[in-house]
Amino acid sequence: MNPIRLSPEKPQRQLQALSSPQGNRDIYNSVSYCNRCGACSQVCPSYQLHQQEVFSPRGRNQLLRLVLEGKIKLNSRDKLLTQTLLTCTLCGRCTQHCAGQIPTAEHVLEMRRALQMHVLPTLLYRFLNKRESSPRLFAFAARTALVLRQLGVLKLVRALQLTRLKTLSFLNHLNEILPAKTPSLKKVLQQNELALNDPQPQLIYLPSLEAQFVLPDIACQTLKLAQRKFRTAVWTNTPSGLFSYVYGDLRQSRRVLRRLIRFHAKTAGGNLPLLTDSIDVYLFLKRAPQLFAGYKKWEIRAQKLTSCVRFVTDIFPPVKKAKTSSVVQLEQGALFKRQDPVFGQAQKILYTLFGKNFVECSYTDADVPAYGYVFVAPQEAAKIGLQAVEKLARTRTHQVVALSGLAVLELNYLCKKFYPAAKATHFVDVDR
Amino acid sequence: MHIPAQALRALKETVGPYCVCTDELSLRLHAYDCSLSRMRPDLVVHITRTNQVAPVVQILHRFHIPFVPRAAATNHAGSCATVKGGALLNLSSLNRILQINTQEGYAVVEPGVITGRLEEQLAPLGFFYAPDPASKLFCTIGGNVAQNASGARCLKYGGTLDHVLEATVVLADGTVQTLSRQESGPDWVGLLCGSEGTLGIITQLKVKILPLAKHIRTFLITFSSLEDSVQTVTDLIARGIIPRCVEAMDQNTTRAVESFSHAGYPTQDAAVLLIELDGKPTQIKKDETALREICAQHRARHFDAADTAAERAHLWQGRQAAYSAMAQLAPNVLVCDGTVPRSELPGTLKRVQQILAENKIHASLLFHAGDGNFHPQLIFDERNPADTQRVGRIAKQILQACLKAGGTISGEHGIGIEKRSSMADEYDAPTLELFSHIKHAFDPAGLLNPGKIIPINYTEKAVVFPPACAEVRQLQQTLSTQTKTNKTGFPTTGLNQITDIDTTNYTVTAQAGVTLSQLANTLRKKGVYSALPARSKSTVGDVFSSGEFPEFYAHVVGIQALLPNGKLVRYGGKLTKNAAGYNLIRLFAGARGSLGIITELTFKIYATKAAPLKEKPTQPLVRHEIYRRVKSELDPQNIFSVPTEETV
Repeated sequence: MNPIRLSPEKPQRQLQALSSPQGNRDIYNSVSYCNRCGACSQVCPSYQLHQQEVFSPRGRNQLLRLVLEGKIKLNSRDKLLTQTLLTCTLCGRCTQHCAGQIPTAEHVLEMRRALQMHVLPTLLYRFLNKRESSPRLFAFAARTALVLRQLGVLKLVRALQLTRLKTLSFLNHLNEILPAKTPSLKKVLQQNELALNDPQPQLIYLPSLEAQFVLPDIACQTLKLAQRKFRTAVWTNTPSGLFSYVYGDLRQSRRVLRRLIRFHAKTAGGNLPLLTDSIDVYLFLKRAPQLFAGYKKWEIRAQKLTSCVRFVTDIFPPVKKAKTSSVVQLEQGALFKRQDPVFGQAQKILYTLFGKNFVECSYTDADVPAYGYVFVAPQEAAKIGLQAVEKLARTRTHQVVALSGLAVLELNYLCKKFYPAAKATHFVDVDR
Repeated sequence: MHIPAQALRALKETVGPYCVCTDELSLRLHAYDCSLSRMRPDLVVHITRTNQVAPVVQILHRFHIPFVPRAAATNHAGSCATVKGGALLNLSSLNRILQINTQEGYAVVEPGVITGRLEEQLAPLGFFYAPDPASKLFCTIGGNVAQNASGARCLKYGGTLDHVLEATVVLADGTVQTLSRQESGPDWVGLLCGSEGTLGIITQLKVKILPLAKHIRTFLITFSSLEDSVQTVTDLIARGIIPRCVEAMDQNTTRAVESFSHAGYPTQDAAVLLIELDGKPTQIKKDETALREICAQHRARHFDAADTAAERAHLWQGRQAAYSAMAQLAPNVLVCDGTVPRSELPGTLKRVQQILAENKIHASLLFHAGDGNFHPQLIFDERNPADTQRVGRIAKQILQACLKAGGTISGEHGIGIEKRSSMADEYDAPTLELFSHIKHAFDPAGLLNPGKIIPINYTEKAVVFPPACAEVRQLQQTLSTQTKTNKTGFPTTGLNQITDIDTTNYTVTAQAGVTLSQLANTLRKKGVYSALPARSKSTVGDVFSSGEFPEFYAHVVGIQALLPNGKLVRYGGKLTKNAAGYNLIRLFAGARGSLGIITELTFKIYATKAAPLKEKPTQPLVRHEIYRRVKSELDPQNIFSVPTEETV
């Protein structure tokens, strides 16, 4: 049968093919590999909350299949349908446990793109989108916003009860998760006598949004680790395209990625390793060729970039057993896919460091929703976050090691609120 | 079908407005399970508390709306498809573990508890729940009971049926009934197991938990032929060694698994056997020596052993990846399920391989070598109707091959609607009629999970078995002319033959009038033993229907019985597993002959003296609601009466 196209007028809004262990598949083929065994449901955070098929990965895959077969119409006014798509945290736990490795998160994103759903609060979306469309303007705006926050503007906004407005309500949570002080990256690097640019780099470090603006310590620590082995250049204010891939227009994501590919290709022959401190960015760059399926030239260039992408676990120095008795856990919350070897590497490093004090959790235990999901569905995210903290409390964890700055921010907020005995740190900041 | 507005209103008042869904999306997304069937319900009701089930069922019953209970919907037979439309009751939210009692060895759970999660909760306490279906990480205990699911540990520990102690069920009219194995009378809990949610909705279960084995040793052994692998298991059992797990794979599967998971399995051999032994270290050592000897006799080509958890996990890695290896090759995997007597396994597997080769279909073959259960996994694309039809045809041919070898069409997946038509090839008309009477007794209006298990027009299509022996025919004649209550009973003393002693499958078939001493003497001469005590006066039929040895029910694998209307029903055979149809063994067990006359039993025997069965003091027969309903359905004229003083 000929499947229906998700965006017949503007096919560029959609992916032409999805990558699978058996090669690229078009979306109908990809979703047809769901055998409806149900293995995904029991690991899905939203199914765990609702216990209803419409909130399960199996349900979401079947929904897409029904849409492609013309049995159900995608309609942004259908409340349940939009809820089905919104409640997916894109964590990829379903793919990890699926025999056919069905990329459910990608399927959900494709449906969101077809509906042109803007899942983030409009103001926040427009602000963050600027990082990709006008990075310099964004940098200026972000620094100004952080200065204004330190001057107490946000307190004023709250006092005036403006955060009760739906469009500004996200400010409450944003204010809560951000650290009290947010020094600039340049300042922190200067204090630590670290150089931003090396004329003859052996490695390129791409700081994530949060490492650059909110948690410069992560960037500083990553740079320190990198410079132990490599001459490193830091590409500040360089977006990867992940934001518009998840929340915006795929065309913009391709544009940004093309820019990064070009930039990388021009630097030292395009063979330098590209280091990131965010697991989400890492996993996105690893699937970059998928964005250019059908565009042979760019697909090959994207594959080259992908082969150069590195995560902080790759530059971690050899470790010895740490002298600490505190219980440590690895927070595995990430986007898309969790089978990547970096998770295994991170676990191995932590196990070497902490031995029996490193606790591995059950396959069903919740993780903190990744990459700003808390602004997409605050209530859902709060419940899932609470489950993640319950996991820490149950295992009496003192230190939870996250693989992205956003997860650190969210976890520290949740721990402070519900389980102050634990503290979240980024992998590069782990107590050695 | 049309759902009356009044019914919807009443349901919304009971469970809340957000838990009653009639929108297209909800209905479409509840139209499937893991089988090929897709049937859209007209209404979805999300049950969030146990005490909502009975009122919801009462409303549905009042408005004559068919309803199907389901939780994770992971079954392979279409058991939770809404054949006649109506309501689908989602029980997934009933997922609490209510109690774990390690002192007395039980756990109380709701039906939506994930089997693997119970195991996970029990492990730190030093206990485990024995039934381990391959899907235990995502299937529910309620579903396991409904399908009588089992897994690799079945040979030693039995299936789900052997581990349920008590069940609270809501019947089709909303009556709540708690059934316990402590009560005398038919084993209602056993009957409920494998009934595929057609007799009642389980709302609470009390299940047996066992202490964890402290020492386990895993072996990976390969053979140059399937026969050698199965014979190894048979010989092991003949020496009185019952392994904790026995799993096997053919060469095709091993190759598929190796290219997918690189588990290190030798791919040049025809069969791979995974065996696990547990117990005390000295015992394991002794058993291992025996295993090595047997393997040498049967020309084992590769013998690998593992002790630590990591090493054992490595050996299991390939077996666990078998489904994934196939699932990545094509959009759909049809997991077939058939069981044959263990002795017939090599022959049947060859026939299955032949069927697969003739049809040029890519498939893998997994089998539980200990209990004769096997699972060919056929890959296909359901978007191609011709491909789907072809796979369906092949699956039916495989089932026919099972039946030809004296097997059953389901060992653990159930019948649902997908194998419904094949039921007529396994059972004769009187047996299928009895199944339909049982269903009618529990659910006279035919509302609870309708259209499952029992084939349509079975009277014309059902298989015809050769006539029974002269003594049984004589009894049949007496019964067909009987119209009034007979206080004198129907003597079975003429039925005193031991018709078969099978030392390959380790079963004996004895007529009901065989005395226990006669049985013990005959078996001893053959060098085998049954678990029954060698008492002179009692007969095999007596001990089975009196309920004095409830543990004996688990030893019985086949039964023949005469119904009050004089019809002879046959169920089971030399099979360790049977999930096709209602479990008639459990219906007649302990019923004091009030539901039928047992004429013949097939039960397990052992190479060494079995542990003696626990005797239970005779108690009066409990005539609760379910008993009354079944009795009046099967024996309306009370031909097989039980004296009033023997009932409560």
